[in-house]
Amino acid sequence: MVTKKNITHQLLDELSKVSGKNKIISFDKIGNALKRLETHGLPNSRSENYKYFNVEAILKKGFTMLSQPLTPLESKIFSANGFQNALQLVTINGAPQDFLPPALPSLQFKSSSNDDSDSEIYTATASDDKLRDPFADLNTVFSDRGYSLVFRAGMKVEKYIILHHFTASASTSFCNARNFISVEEGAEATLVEIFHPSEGSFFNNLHTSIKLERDSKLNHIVVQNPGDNSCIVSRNLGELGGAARYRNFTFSLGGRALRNNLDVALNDVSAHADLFGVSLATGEGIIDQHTTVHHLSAHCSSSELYKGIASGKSTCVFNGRIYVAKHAQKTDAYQSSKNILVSESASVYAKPELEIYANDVKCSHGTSTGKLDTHALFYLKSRGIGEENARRLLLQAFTRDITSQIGAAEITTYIERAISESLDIFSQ
Amino acid sequence: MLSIRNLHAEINGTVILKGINLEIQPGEVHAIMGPNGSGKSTLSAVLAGKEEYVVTQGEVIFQGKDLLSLSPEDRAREGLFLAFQYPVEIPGVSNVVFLRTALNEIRNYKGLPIMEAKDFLKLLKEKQKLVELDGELTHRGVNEGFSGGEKKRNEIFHMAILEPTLAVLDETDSGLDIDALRIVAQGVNKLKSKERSSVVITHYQRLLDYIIPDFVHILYNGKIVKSGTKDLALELEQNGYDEIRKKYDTLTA
Repeated sequence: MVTKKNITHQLLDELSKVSGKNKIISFDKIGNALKRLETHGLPNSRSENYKYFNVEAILKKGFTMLSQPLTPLESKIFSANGFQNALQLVTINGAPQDFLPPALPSLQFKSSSNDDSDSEIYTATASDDKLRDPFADLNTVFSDRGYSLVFRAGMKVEKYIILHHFTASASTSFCNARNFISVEEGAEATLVEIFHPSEGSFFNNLHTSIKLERDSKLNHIVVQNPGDNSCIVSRNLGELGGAARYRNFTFSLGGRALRNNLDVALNDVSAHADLFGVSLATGEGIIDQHTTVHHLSAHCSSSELYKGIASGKSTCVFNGRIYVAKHAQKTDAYQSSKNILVSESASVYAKPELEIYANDVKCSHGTSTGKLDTHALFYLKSRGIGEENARRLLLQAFTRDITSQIGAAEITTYIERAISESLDIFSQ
Repeated sequence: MLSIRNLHAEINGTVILKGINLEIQPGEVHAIMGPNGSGKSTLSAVLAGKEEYVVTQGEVIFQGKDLLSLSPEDRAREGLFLAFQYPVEIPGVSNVVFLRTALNEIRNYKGLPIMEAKDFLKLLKEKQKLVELDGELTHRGVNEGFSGGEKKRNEIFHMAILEPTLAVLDETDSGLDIDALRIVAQGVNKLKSKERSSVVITHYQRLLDYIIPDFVHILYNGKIVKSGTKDLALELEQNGYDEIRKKYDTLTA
C-alpha cells in the first residue's frame, strides 16, 4: 500500500533529481514549503480539502519531472482557431515562447523571474490549513519556469490576449509553472487562457499570482481540457486594489482530473469580483472547484455562479468559501452553484462555507442539483427534435447564462462550440 | 387521416381514457369538448406520446402508420403537432434556434435538404406576421418571460413554421383575452387546407365562434358520449355540462 508519506517522498526524490534551477522563488520560502511538505505530505482521501480529489490514485502510476521544454510547436496549431481580434501568445510545457512577440506597448510577456512577487493573502485565518496548500508548496519548491504578463498602467488593451498553453511529453511528466499576471493602475484587459489537451500524460501543477492595482479591470477567461490521461491542479491567487474589477470564467471541459483553487482577496474599498465556472465532468473524471473570496475591506462585492454537468461515472465538486473580515462592513457577497446529473452513476458535491465576522453585510448562497427537465425535453421532442439534439440544446442552454456574460462575441462563440463538443449527451 | 379505435389509457394506475373512437378525414376540423377531468388533455398527451401515459388497449392509425409505436419526435416528423395547454419555458434556447433545429430535423426525416439560413429567416418573418408576434420574442428564449397570450401565439407560430398535417390544439383558448383569441383563431384558419386537419380541444364554446368546426364531440368520463355538428356546441353553451353529467352518470352508475 502506498502511504501519503512515501508517495510524497517518492515525488520529492524524483523532482529533486532535476531541481536546483529554481530562480523564481526566494530561498526562505522554498525551505518553509519543503518543511511543510515533508511534515504533512500530499493530501489523501482523509484530507478534508481534497477528499474527492484522489491524488494518490493519480500519482500512484508515477511521474517524472519534466526536464526540458519542448522545441517550439508550429504556430499553425492555434492560428487555425480563427480569432480575428486577438493577440495570441504561447507557452509550451509552461515556458513562454518568444516567436510571437507582443506588438503592443501596453503589454509585457516574458519568462517569470525573481523580479515577480507572489500574491499574498493575509487574513485572520491565514495560518490555518485552508490557506496552506500542499500543491502550492510543491510548486514553490520545484517551479523552474512560468510566464510573467504585465498590463501597463492606464492602458486599455482593445484586443483580447489569448494565451495558449500547450503541453507534450514522451513520458509521464510533472510540471510546476509559476506565473504572474499584473494589471497596473487603471489598465483594462481581457485575457483568455486556453489549456489545450496534453499529448502524452501530464501533471500540470500551476500557480498564478494575479494582481489588480487600483481602478484596473481584468476579464480573465480560462478554458481547460487536459485530456483523458492528464491532470491539472491550478492555484490562482487574485489580489484586488481599490475599485478594481476582476471577472474570472473557468471552463473546465472534461479530462481525467482537474482541480482549481481560486482565491480572490478584495483588499481595498469598492473592489469587485465576479467568479463564474462551467464544469463538464465526463467518463470517470473529476472536476473539483474550490473558491475562496476574502472580503478584507469595506464596500466590496463579489458574486459567484458555478454550473456543473456530470455524466458517466464522473464527479463534480464545488466548494465555495466566503470569508468576511470584521472590518469589511457593507460587504455584498452572493454565491450560487447549480448542477445537472446526466447519468445515474455520476456524483455532485456542492458545499458553501460562509465565515462572517462583520455585522453589516449581505451574504447569500444557494445550490441545486437535478436531472434534465423532462417537460422541456418532451416539448422539444414534440416539435420533431430528436433525443440527442434535445439534450444538447438543453445542456447548452444550462450553461448559457454564464457564456452570455463573457462580453466578447468571438470568445463566446469559441467557448460555446468547445462546450458543445465536450458534452457527453448520452452516457449512463 | 387519423383513426382512433377503442383507445384506453391510464396514468399512475388511474384509468382516464375508457374506449375512445374517432375518425378524422383530411381537411376536417373537429372540436372536442367536455367538462374538467373528462380526459381531453390526456387524449392530446397520448397522441403526442407523453411517456407517463400508458395505453392499455386500442390503436391509433395516423396516415396509415401505427402512431403509438412511434417516438414523440417521429410523430412530429410524420406531421402531428400538439399546441400545449401549458407551453414550457426554455431559457437559453432561442425560439429561432429551436425552430430551425426542429424544421431541419423534420426535413431530414422526409429526405428534404436542410433549409438555408436566408430562406429560413424569410419564412420566420412571414409567419411572424401571421400571428402578430413581436420580432423581439422570436429571438428570446423559447417562451422565456412570455405572457400567457404570447405563449399561445408562439404555439401557433411554431405550427405555422412546421406546417403539420394534423394539429391538436389543447385548450389553446384558455387564458386568452378576445384579441389574442382572434389572432390565434386567425392563425389556425389561415393554415387550413384540404390536406390539413385539426382537433380543437376546448372547455368553452367561445373559440368555436372563430374556428368553425365540421364536427363537435363531447368527451365525458373517458369516452365520447355524443357527436354532432357545430350546433352541438351551441346547445352545450346553453345547457351546460349538467345535462350530460346527469344522463351519463346514471348510465355508468
